Amino acid sequence: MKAKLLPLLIANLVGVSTAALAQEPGLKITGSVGVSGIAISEDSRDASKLNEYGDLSPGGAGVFDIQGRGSRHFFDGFGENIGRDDMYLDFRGGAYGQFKYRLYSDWLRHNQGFGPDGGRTPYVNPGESQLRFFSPLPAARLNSNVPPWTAFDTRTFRKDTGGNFEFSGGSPWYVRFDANEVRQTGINNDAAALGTSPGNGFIDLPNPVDYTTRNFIAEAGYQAPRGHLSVNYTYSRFQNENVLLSFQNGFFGNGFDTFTSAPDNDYMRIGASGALRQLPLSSTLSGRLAYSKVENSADMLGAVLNTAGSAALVATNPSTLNYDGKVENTTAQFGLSSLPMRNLDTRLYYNYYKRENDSTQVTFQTTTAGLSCFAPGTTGPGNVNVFCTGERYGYTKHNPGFELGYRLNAENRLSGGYDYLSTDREDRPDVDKTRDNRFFIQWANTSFETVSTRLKYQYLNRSSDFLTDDAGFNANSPFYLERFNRAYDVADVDQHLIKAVVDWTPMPFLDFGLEAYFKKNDYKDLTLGRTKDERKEFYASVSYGDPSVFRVTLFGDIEFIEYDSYHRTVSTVAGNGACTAAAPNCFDPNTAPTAQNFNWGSTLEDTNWMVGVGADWPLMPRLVLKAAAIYAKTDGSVDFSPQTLASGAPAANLPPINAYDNTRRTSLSLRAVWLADKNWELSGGYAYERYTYEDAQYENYQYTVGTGTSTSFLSGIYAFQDYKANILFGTVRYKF
Amino acid sequence: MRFGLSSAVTALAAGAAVFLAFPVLAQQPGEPVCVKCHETAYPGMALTKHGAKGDPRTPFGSGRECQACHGDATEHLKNPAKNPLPIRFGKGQAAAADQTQACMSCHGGNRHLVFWDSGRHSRNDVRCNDCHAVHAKPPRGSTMAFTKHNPTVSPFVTTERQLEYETCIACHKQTRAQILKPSHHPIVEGKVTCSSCHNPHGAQSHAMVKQETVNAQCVSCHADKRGPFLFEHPAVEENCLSCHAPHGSSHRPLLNEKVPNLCQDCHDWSRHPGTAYAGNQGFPPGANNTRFIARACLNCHNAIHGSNAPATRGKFLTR
Repeated sequence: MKAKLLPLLIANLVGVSTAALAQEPGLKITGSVGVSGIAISEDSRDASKLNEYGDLSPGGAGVFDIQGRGSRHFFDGFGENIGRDDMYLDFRGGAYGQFKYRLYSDWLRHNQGFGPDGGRTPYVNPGESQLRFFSPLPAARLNSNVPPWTAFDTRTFRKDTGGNFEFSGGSPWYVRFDANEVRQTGINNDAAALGTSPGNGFIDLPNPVDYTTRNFIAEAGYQAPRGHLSVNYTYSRFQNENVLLSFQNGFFGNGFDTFTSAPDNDYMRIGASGALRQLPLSSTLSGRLAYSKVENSADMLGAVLNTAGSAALVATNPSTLNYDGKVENTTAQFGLSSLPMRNLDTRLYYNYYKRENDSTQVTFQTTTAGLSCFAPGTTGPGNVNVFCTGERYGYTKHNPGFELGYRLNAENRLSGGYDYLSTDREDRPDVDKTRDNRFFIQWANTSFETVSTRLKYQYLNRSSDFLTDDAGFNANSPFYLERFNRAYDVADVDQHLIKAVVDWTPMPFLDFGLEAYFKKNDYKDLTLGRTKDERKEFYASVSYGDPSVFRVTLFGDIEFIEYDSYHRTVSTVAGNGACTAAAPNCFDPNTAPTAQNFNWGSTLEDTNWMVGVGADWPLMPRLVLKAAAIYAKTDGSVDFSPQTLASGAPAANLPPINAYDNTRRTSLSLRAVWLADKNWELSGGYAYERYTYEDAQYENYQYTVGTGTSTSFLSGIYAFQDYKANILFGTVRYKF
Repeated sequence: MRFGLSSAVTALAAGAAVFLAFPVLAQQPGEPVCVKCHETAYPGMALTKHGAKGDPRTPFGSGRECQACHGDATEHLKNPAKNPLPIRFGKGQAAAADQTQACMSCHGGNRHLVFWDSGRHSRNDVRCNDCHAVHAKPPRGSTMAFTKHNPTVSPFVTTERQLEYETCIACHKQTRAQILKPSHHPIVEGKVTCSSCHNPHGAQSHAMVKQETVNAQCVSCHADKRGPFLFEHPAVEENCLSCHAPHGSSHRPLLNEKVPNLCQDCHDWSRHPGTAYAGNQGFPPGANNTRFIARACLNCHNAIHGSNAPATRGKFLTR
């Protein structure tokens, strides 16, 4: 929906609504119109983090709200930030019991890096679909001082415009239509390896974004207190104007390489849902069936750059040049909630999920080095070059379960349940079947008039059937590692979860809230991979005051996260990937460590905490003061524990990482709202923001790394996020 | 990119036209008798759909007025102190199910409430009035009022709307801290709401996610991740939450764990996948290791959600 049409549509719709309203007795119209403004002073090298989701650019905007209430019709309109990149418009209306509608437009900007410090490139034309170097000479491109490097902003604008219309005509039958269009434009900061080896460098790519998603939903149904039944149809089309990004690649003789982005796709879903109440035993039977299909087509690249120093294309020999993607999802969900006896409530449920991938199977029939995939050898430990073949991942899930709740008395309720999830997978190389058993028990108590508590314990046990227990020819084959490695999303695990919540109101207008959360995963039956993760979080808040007089809220939260994992480093292998003669059985974690081949453990810890306070103070009948302040801190670190050599020395020097997404944020906001008279409202305020970022991956940042044709080119994204800002804001509003 | 000035003026003019075309009328007579004692309970409600006198389905359109929800007030009117209303709402009053039933007697057939009985809120004694401030005047930008007991505690944002999350975090306390983390969906900014993903009125899916699966929910906004892709990333295809924490994280973009550690928790292989990237691998004086600096694994393996590139370019998600 083009931007210029939108206000015309709004004006016409408003006109229609107001015409209808004008004929109604008892009409009441209220609302306001006004202007708002922002002034900002900021200090930063890259202000994108400050402006991540909001438009803080200095300037003005329009605001309005309108409510129309008649005896038969109603109308609401709201708009804020009109004229700015985070505009929001919302119009609703209808005739009571007959129909209702909504029109809206919601704009969002997502900023991730502002040039030149947070966005620069050796390409002359960032954001275009064929990126060209400003110079063909690698040495010339090493000087990243802007210019001749080009500055750009990594930002996308998302505009979601749409509406819905629902008609019932006063009957239990209804029909409803939803439609919207989401446009996303801007530049994403993608990246690509330059050569065919990790040591060949990489380059950040300012990739143009021009997405359009159009969604349409139609639903018809019958709604009554006794039950509900509906059928619905969804169609969504996603279009990407830049599916392929061409970029000069210095490793391949400045030839034009290709990066693939999201393909166009068509999504269709048909579904039915319903509920039937007032069944025997006070039961409600509910269910939902859905079938969806997503399809796309893509042309396979028949040739790519593959020779160091050369712009010559090398054939990839796809078995077909046309890929037709097709994934179907079928789901069925049923639940039966009942009150079989006094104080006992039950719920039985069953969920079924099936994902089928019927996409074209494409095989790239080449064993050229750099283009061929590899498979475990069957007559020796070395890898065997094989054709690369696409994957078609699918699964079937069965998920039955039940929950029981028993009310011991009016103040105490015990509940518990069991959930079983069985997953059978297709085309996943490491595991095909997983079974989850989950139990929970919960106690909710309101014995004391001023206190309510809830305590929950949940246990999850997961076991999987792995396909890699015999992987690899022998311990000299890299595939042998698969016998010991488990991906944590399917690894056998015991999970314990405890959650406690307390709400206490010892006296009127004084509230305390406490919440504690503990979750621990112990991964079992593995040697390599994530072995444990744990999360503990504690939250506390206190609120005091009568909202009509003065109210203040103080909260604090602290969170401890830990990930433990175990890995194996194998530094030197033969040309066919197998162990060298000097280091046999290098892929067996039980082999004695050497300085080149050893196991190592890591513990990643995140400690995050924040405190905040907010207050609303109606200082006078016409003056309200609002204030809020937050201080938030995140700290990450990693400790390493390599194996010890026979000499007693560690197998490698692995110093810890002491800054891993360490952030400090201070936010302060003060606002006053003054009702000058019954028609005029003035509000204004001041906000202060300060943010610092420290991370081992960005400290002493460089825009180029390496030399020659293996030089990596970085853009600066996320490297300079610190900011400090003083913001003044205000709104003048006329109310009617 | 700005909304055109002429377009902005048109939008404002539309609003002004409404004001200019119709005179402001005084509040109509006919307030319920309850207002004589409960004087603050009616003015806000009068502006909601409950107060629509022209709609025979509503309390004030049907003539039952306050009794539509609170029950027969005959005895209460005779002696308010001695005879409380049959149905009173809030903590410590009637059982949660009974309070909810007062609402469900009218709204039970609403399409939003199809799965109320299946949802966690229903089974955890959450009442309608825990979230919906039925008597309150809807704040600007909303057609209904949500409960908001406490002042807003958030950084400066450009929206003046009362946001949905402020109601949800009254019970889901730790979520308040999650959505304020450095990497977050724009919930506090008012561009994503809790109900964008969850159906607070009940759903068949775990965590009351609106769609059938987590992935279906995520791609309903992130359509560029729908694929299908020739080369897939299994963990991506099965569950976005294997890698992402949608409420918020200290690791962008919404990752559970920082890269390369996240990737290495699944991938171990000879040479660089199994290599330890320790504190001496950063920019100089560190080793300038391209598998650690900046975005680490994603410097090269950037097509992490899937790829249609050929051969190893797609298989290894490097194009």
